[in-house]
Amino acid sequence: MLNLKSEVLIDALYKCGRCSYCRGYCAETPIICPAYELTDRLEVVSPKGRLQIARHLLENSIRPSKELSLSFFLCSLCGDCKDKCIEGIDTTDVFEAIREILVEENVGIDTHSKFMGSVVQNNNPYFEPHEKRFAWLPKHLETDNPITPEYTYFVGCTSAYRRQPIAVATAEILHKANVRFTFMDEVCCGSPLLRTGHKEVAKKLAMKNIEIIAKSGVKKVITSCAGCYRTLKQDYPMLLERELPFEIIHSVELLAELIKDDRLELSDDKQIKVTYHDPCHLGRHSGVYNPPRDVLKSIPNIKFVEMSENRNNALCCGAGGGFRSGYKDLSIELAALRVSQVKKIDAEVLASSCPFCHYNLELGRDKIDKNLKVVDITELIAKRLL
Amino acid sequence: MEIQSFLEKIVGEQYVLAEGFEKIVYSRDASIEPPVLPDYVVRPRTIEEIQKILTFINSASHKHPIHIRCSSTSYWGGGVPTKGSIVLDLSRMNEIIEINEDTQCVTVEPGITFGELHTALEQKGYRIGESPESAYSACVGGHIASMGTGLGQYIFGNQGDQVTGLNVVLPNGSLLTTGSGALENIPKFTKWMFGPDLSGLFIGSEGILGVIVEVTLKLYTLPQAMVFATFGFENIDEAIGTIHQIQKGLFSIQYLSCFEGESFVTTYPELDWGNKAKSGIVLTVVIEGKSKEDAEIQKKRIKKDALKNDGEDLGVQFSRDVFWKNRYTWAVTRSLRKGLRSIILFHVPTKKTPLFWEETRIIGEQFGLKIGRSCQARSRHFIDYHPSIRYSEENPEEWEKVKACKNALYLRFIELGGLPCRLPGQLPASITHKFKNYLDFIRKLKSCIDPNNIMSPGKILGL
Ligand SMILES: Cc1cc2nc3c(=O)[nH]c(=O)nc-3n(C[C@H](O)[C@H](O)[C@H](O)COP(=O)(O)OP(=O)(O)OC[C@H]3O[C@@H](n4cnc5c(N)ncnc54)[C@H](O)[C@@H]3O)c2cc1C
Ligand code: SF4
Ligand code: SF4
Repeated sequence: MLNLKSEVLIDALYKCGRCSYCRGYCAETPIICPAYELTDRLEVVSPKGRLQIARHLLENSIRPSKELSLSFFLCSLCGDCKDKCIEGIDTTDVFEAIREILVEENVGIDTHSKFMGSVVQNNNPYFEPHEKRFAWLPKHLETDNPITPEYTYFVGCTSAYRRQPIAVATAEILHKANVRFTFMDEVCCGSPLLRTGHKEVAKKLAMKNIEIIAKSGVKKVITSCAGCYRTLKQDYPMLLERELPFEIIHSVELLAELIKDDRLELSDDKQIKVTYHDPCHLGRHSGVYNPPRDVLKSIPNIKFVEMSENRNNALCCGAGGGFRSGYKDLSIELAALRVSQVKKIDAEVLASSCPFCHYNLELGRDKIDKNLKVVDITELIAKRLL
Repeated sequence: MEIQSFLEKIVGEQYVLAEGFEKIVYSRDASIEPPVLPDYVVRPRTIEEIQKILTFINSASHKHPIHIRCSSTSYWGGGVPTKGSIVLDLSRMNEIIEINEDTQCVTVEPGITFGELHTALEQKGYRIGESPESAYSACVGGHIASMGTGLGQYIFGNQGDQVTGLNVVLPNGSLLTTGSGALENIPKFTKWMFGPDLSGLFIGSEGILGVIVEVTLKLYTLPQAMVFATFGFENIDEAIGTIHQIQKGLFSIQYLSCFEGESFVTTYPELDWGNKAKSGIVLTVVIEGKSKEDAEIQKKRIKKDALKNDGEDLGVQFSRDVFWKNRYTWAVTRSLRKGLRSIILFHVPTKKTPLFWEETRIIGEQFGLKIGRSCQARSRHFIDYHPSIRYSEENPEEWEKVKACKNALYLRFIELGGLPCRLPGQLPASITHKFKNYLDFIRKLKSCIDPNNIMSPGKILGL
């Protein structure tokens, strides 16, 4: 017997009017559900289809199975369906809840259980030793710990192990702007686990991180990862059912402030045409759209251009929601689709503000145009620091 | 099993769905009708594949019924299969085949959504004449097969009027081209040929006569100017009086609707509607013009009509661009935010609309239900009256009550002289005898074209 206790969930499942707007098409969003599009419009993986299946699970007219799992895991939780749903259904919440049930029923995705094992063992999903979490940290920044830091920089696993230049760039900028910051002996924020149905383990990680931050007495946490940002800011208070005793800030939000306050001096360079990819967790999930654009527009000699699919209509890069680890080929295909939207406006640089997007967009780029530069906004700024 | 492997041989293994959970999502449409699981779902890509499937089913010893599905946004059960059937999902057939700038026609596959088609056409400065309010998700094939009505219809006619030719796979697997395209080397620029209008057989057919696999529609250039006007009335008689005046004038109307103010105003809480709107009826009209001046002149005349009928100019304004961009999230879809609704759609003589309006209230009260009332003029000759009842599928009793109320409305509205624009699966004989000859003729036609009755059995009054 399935246990879908949450009233909110039940309400959502019965609210769907099967209008199909969540997988529709319009000029602003040529593709709403990337999973539906990548599978040749297979209704089973459309948001509407998933909700129908979820409802039958709730009514116990079907049983969870490995095959059925596909319907819920072949999804990057990009949130575009939630954004477009005319009944206002929080689709991604429903999908996450069902994933949890599927995992409980032992019909989850093997690669997800594997990285969950690594998080438990190593505090990161990349099977890397915890001791190497700060291997990227340059010597001059290591000794830079102020006595009364204002911020702590929560690096996140992807920047710490897979996209270290983003961590370096972020720390360099903070250092240059005389921001009083420190690091913490962080563990994985839990985002990959929350998204793939391992909520209980994620809760433990949340408690651990919160304890460490609270102990340090720091009141502001910066992160350069969109996934960590959403998790710390939105999921932690929900998981622990209380408000956090500190504020969560994404690096682009702080950068926008620093630039506004003239705390960063940037050098000139030859003009380049740059566009911006909104990470789902920062954009649609958290509503942070303007700061990254303000930052890009303030860099000398950068010509900022928008893709027509931008802000809440941005196409997902395919990395998140356990999609990359579960369905690698499709995930890269999606990244390539996103890069093809960049090609339409002839931008030379594709900037983003999430190491995980960076990771996947590079793979997508390699399938389409090796000349396109994929960068994190922090890298663009760090290169221009005077 | 034999059938499954045969279907797989035609379309490829991954395009035949037979698992219970897979079939669930093909068991319903957007209507109140409860789900029915098909035996198989097949997802063809080409016309040839569809021909092979139909030929095979027709010659098999067990003849599975076939139900066609584009986006399954039908509000009337057209997308609910019957037991033991095969669903033909056409969503993979979604290409634009040709934009012919000479004939000003576009040819598409049936599974393309209006949203996709508009996007491609607008880049070339074109539009099609009519699109449903479900345009982002509904497909061209499904709309034609359900005799679609929608935005733009007042000026250009309904979707059937837009068709200049169809390609249809008939139940025996053969391919029929209707309209001028039936003649080799002639473009599909008109549906009118010598002989009867064969396209008309399939427009509104709900799939009972064959599978529409290609559609050619008329193109128009994009609108130049639009103005928006909103009027408040104390009662429906005044509002309908105004609509009738508008229908008599030769206006170019994109959108003309009447809503109960109370519910309409809460659908748009961000706008200031004034008191008259809140307690009475809100009439909104979008006027298209060759130029801004032209549109404004029309608006002035309409305003005069409205004021003559004791209306009040509510002054709520939108620009052309705002309306054009939001035209498919403007009314019906926006009101869905308040919950599920079951809709009934009748064409009624304009001046009789207040009678239907009042009757709806009375029947609603009998069932203890609040029925939302609204109507649109999508033609100069009648009104599209579409009351809607909110319901929750979580509550089976309420669900049943709404269905019963809907049936009562159907019966009463037919008695009052309304034309059910979409027919439910069944109506009592006391009603169907009123158009017995019409139904008999369709029955005979169907048995000629589809002697084994494999195509969408039961979808038009049990046919
Ligand atoms: C929010 C909302 C707003 C709506 N607004 C409108 C509106 O303004 N006007 C309006 O008319 N409707 C409206 N509808 C109803 C519905 O969207 C339309 O009827 C739409 O045209 C159906 O298209 P579809 O692709 O979803 O067709 P489906 O639901 O898939 O099919 C509709 C019927 O046609 C048959 N069919 C489908 N494809 C074919 C084919 N290729 N060959 C033969 N038969 C076929 C099906 O078997 C079924 O009987 C609305 C629905 C919603 C949810
Ligand atoms: S979250 Fe994104 S990928 Fe998942 S169903 Fe919604 S639109 Fe599709
Ligand atoms: S848009 Fe919302 S209500 Fe419509 S089908 Fe999708 S999830 Fe259901």
